[in-house]
Parts: sequence; C-alpha cells; structure tokens
Amino acid sequence: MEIPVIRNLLEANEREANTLRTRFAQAGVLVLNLISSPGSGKTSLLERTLTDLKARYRMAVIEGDCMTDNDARRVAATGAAAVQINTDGGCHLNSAMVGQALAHLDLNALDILFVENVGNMVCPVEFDVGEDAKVAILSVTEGDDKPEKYPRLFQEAKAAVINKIDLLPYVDFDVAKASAQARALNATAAILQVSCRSGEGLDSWYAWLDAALAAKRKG
Amino acid sequence: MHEMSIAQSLLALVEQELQLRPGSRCTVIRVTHGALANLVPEAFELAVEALTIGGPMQGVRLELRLLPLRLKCRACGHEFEPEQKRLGPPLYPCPQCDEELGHTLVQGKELFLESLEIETD
Ligand SMILES: Nc1nc2c(ncn2[C@@H]2O[C@H](COP(=O)(O)OP(=O)(O)OP(=O)(O)O)[C@@H](O)[C@H]2O)c(=O)[nH]1
Ligand SMILES: [Mg+2]
Ligand SMILES: [Zn+2]
Repeated sequence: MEIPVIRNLLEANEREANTLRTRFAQAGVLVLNLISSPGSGKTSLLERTLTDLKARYRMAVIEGDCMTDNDARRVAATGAAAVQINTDGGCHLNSAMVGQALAHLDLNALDILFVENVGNMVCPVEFDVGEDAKVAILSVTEGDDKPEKYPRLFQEAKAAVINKIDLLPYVDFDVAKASAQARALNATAAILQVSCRSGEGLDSWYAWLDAALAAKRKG
Repeated sequence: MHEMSIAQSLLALVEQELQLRPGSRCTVIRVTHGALANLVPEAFELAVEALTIGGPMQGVRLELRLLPLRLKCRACGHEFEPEQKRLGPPLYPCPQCDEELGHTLVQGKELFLESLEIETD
C-alpha cells in the first residue's frame, strides 16, 4: 500500500534554525554564515575584521572545524570570543550544533556573530543555522568558474567575497568572469574584492557589514 | 558527504510514519530531490543501506525522483528549464528573450520524502 507523506527531509534542522533565528532577532545580533572551500581565507577574513572593527562592534565567532581547534585559537588571539564546534569529520554545521555553541555566548552582549562553516561549498549551503545571510568566499588561487560549479551557494549568498587579490598578477583568475557568473546567479548580491594579506578592499567588506547590521536593526 | 545526515533525517521521518501504523513494514521509500539540492544518489543509497543494515528496515528500496532546475525570467516572465549543457558564462539565457541575469528560482531546491510503500501483517 502506498502512503503519501510529503515531508521536508531537512525539517528538523529548519525547525531548530527558526528557533535560533528568533533568538538572534530578539538579541538584535547580525549572524553571518561564512562558506567557502578549504583555505579560501575565512579565518583570515575574520582575523582582520575582528581586529579592525574591534572598537566599532562587539563580535564573536562560532568555528566549525572537522578536527582541530586551530582556527578558534587564531580567532581568540584577536581578543574576540570564539566557540569551537568539532564536527568529527562531518562536512557541515547544522542548527543543533550552533544551538549548543550558543550556551557559551551572551547574545545580548553582541552586535555580530560570525559562523565559520566547515570548508566545503556544497553541504553547508543545505543546512540553515538561523543566519541572516550566507557569505560566499572564493580566492583567486581557485578556479574562476567556482560560481558556475557551485550555483546554489552563489544563488543564496548575499555577499560574494573574492579574496587574495594581491595574488592576481601571478594567477590566471579572471575577476570579470567570476563576477559575471556570480551576478548571473544572483542579481542583488554584493561582489567584493579583498586581500586579507595587504588589506586592500577590506573597506568595502566593512561597509557591507555596516549596511547589513543597520538593515537588521531597522527590521 | 552530507548524504549521511540526510539519510538519518529520512529514516527518522520514516520511523515516525511507521509508528502511526503499528505492525507495518516499509518496503519502498520515495524521495524527491531538486537539481540544486546537491544530493548524490549513489552516496545517498549507500548511506541508507548502511543505516538500515541489521534492523527492521534492512533491504528497503529507495526510489529517487529528480526535479530539474526551473527558472522564471526576470525580463519577460517566461518559465524555462535551462539545458544541462553549459555554454560557459553567462549562464542560463532565457529561450524567449535571451535575458541572462536575475532569473528567480521556481524549482530546484526541493528535498522531501514523497511517499512510502508499506506492508501490514
Ligand atoms: N596571499 C594571500 N594569502 C592569503 C590571503 N588570505 C588568506 N591567505 C592565506 O591562505 C591560507 C588559508 O587561509 P585561512 O584563512 O586559514 O583559510 P580558511 O578558509 O579559514 O581555511 P579552512 O578553515 O581550512 O577551510 C593561509 O595560509 C592564509 O595566510 C590573502 O588575501 N592573500
Ligand atoms: Mg578556517
Ligand atoms: Zn525572458
């Protein structure tokens, strides 16, 4: 006998994500889910941001890492609160893990909460963790066809950060091509070019954060 | 990759459905997945097999139905399914008006349990 069911396979995750979203809204904290392939510069962007904006915002980081706490230690060295989640080889963070990490943070004492997801451009996109926005990061040492290969991420991310532009003279990454692909997938996302090494372009990322937080506060 | 955690959620949902029908056994699970749901069928089948082995659902058959990507053109409102073959960027021109940018997604992110085939003693 066939019985129709129609239930979203991610419903448990989405239910918990919505609970988190309500908590984040009540505390007025902007939550950003950083997604990229391994080594694109998520932690580097956080180190820069946490240092440069220290006087402007109260910030904390939830670090998802398969095995180590290296990134959490790098983040903690800036003075910001960092909570480590070891996924034990798992390829993404989910809303239950983020909910557990929140036990170690005082949301009311925060303006921005960054979630550094596990390095991978596929699975983290499927699992809502209650964030206001996903931020995609790609670096110029990767292929410039990343948006085309991972359309779901670039379709959903509200900002696409192209990192390591200090290396552009040495690689054949075509910024115009990558930007056009990202633009084709998402007509409104911000496309930012930065170098966490030289600091070039970080102003545009900080301006984006200012605007995102202002929009959140306005409701 | 994430197929294992999706398989776990799937089997939890199936168990909930079976508890509503005491004495029943599930023989087929039908799942619908959109082209952008990033589900790799082989990995998913393997995960379900691994999670059911030795239990009451051992040998359950998985039937997957793929929903193609479907977009709505920003310029003319035409709905279309882009061809799988990519011509390189820009992506997905509208077959009716050639607009390439800003289409909205109509279908492709779905990932749901559609129906079960059950036997009752
Ligand atoms: N040249 C250059 N190197 C960079 C830049 N940003 C990051 N890197 C280097 O790239 C490497 C990886 O950076 P991370 O910040 O650890 O990258 P990640 O995305 O956090 O990596 P995972 O957490 O392992 O996924 C490090 O060696 C950084 O020093 C940049 O703008 N320019
Ligand atoms: Mg990192
Ligand atoms: Zn059109």
